[in-house]
Amino acid sequence: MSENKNNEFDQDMINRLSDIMPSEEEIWSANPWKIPIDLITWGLAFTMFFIKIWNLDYILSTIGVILMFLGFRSLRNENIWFKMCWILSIIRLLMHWVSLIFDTSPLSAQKYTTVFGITTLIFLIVFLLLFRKALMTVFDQERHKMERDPLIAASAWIAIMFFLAFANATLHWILFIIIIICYIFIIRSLFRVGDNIDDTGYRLKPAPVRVSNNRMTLIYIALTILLVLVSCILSNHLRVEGQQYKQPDTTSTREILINKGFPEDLLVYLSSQDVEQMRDTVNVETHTKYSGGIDNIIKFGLHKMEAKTVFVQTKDNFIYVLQYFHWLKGKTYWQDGIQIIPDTNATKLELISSGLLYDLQDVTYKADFPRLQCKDTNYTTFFGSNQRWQIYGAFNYPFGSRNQRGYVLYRYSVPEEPFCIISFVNYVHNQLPFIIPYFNTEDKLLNDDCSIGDKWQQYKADYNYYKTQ
Amino acid sequence: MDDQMIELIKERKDDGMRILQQQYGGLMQYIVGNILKDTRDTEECISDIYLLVWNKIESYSNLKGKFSTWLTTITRNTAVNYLKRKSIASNTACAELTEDLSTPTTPELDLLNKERASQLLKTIQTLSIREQHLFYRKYYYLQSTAQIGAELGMTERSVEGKLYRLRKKLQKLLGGDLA
Repeated sequence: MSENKNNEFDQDMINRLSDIMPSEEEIWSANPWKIPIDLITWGLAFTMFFIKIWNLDYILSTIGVILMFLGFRSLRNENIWFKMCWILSIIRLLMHWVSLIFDTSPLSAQKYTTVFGITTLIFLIVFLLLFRKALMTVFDQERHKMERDPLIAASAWIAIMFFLAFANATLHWILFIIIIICYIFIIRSLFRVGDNIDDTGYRLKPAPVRVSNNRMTLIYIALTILLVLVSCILSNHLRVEGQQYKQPDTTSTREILINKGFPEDLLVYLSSQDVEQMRDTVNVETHTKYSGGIDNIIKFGLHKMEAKTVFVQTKDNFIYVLQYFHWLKGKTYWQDGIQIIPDTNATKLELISSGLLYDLQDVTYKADFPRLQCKDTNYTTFFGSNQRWQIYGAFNYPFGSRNQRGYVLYRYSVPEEPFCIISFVNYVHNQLPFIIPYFNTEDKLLNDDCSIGDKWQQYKADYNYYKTQ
Repeated sequence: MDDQMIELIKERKDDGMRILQQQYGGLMQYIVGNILKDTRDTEECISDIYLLVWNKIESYSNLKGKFSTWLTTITRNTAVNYLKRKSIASNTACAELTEDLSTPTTPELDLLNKERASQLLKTIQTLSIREQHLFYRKYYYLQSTAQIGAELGMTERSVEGKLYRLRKKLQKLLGGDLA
């Protein structure tokens, strides 16, 4: 009964439409060529040009590769060249995942990114040339002439862009504008190829699909997000292997240091060997306020950390500095970076010890920093480049750990009777693992790449040199 | 190009028909082929359409719309009528078609049909763009579910589902105003 009613309705619609003239847009939209060629052209537009803001280069290229796949999927039965393009578009989907793994993991710093880049370049040019051949075959079959040939220009454009990227070239603004104009011209021409195909397009027979375009797009984007998520989590959480912490026995040196003013609650984290080095202490100074009246509660957005700096001056003119930090609110799970810059007059900088302390199921553990080094490094200022010794590294704590704290103990000697000794600390706190593209946090500090957008803080303690005579 | 072709046809020159075939042969083949399915019927129907264009070209005015729109309407309606004739001839179970074709047309009926078509057009315009595309493919071009699916990148099941919902929506919008 219901089926009869539906048939009756369908027939009524068919009859009524005999008196209706559809719009021009409606007629053009029924061209079987339109959707696939639009998908491919938008796909090319999104994958040929990278806008490196708000991660748009990753978002648009992910959409671009799936659009190209969907376009070629529809046209795969048209001729052998389209079939080859379709196969390459599948490989492109996988290559995009590989490139995302490269970009979100330490692999990005490895030498084989160059090999991958060159492979991608060759692949893309072959891809575009095959697409051109596929289009020309369609035009030839219908004895039509392809009026525009933007795919050769697109191949050349991609090759130039890759070359500029590899050469790390800084573009003059005029050259940049020329590149943009060429890009717009190529994409516009590609759309026109689609528009000009008119009659040829109606002879196409799109291949049937088992999974709809919308679903396929959602699945690919969901898998890509998952992949990026897993890659970021695995790459940005550093492995920390702690051992149960045991409080050291009280020694005479410890008592001397405590009497001189060394905070007892921090001294317990130092080993006896470390403490013995400071036996001939002449002065101890603990800073809970930093230069410029900055409070020792350092805020990183909603997260906050307590910092303390203890200076110990010894008879042999060494300055020992303990940089201590304790997370009060928020957790450190994603490679936080630390950079310690001693006074400019400092010589013989030496990293004595370091440690990460945390509580897990009511047991306190102590672990080494996963990455921490003391090195003579280059740095650039307004006045030019220079060399300096500094300590830098990255760390985090195991998932689920509480009461996260840590310290770095180092020493250096200073020329006799300096006026003041300064110790800088730069700290970057990553609240989330999504560091795209991947970088070692300490590298960002070393390259002075930190901005307000990063959870970055700097604090400085000034030690007044204690005159022994 | 269209203006030149129309002028040539109006002047009864074969070149006009040659351009028509070159420019719009694919479009006609696409519309008729989807409605009639059979290759021989399609060829025969397309020949009828060429003849119709040749005879009725004077009725076309570019003030009313583009030539492609006019040609699409002629092509589609000729193919639908061809299908109806064929249904009667082969005495198929398509009772509605037979009934519809056997109904005599009068000026009053023509006016009523035009009013109903106008009402339908208004209803179509209330649909979303995607629904409109689907509607025209199903009821104007009489495309199969498989073809709609392939061309729009959807599975047949998904097309069926959307068509079902579209039919329900139209039935509701048009109320009891059925044939």
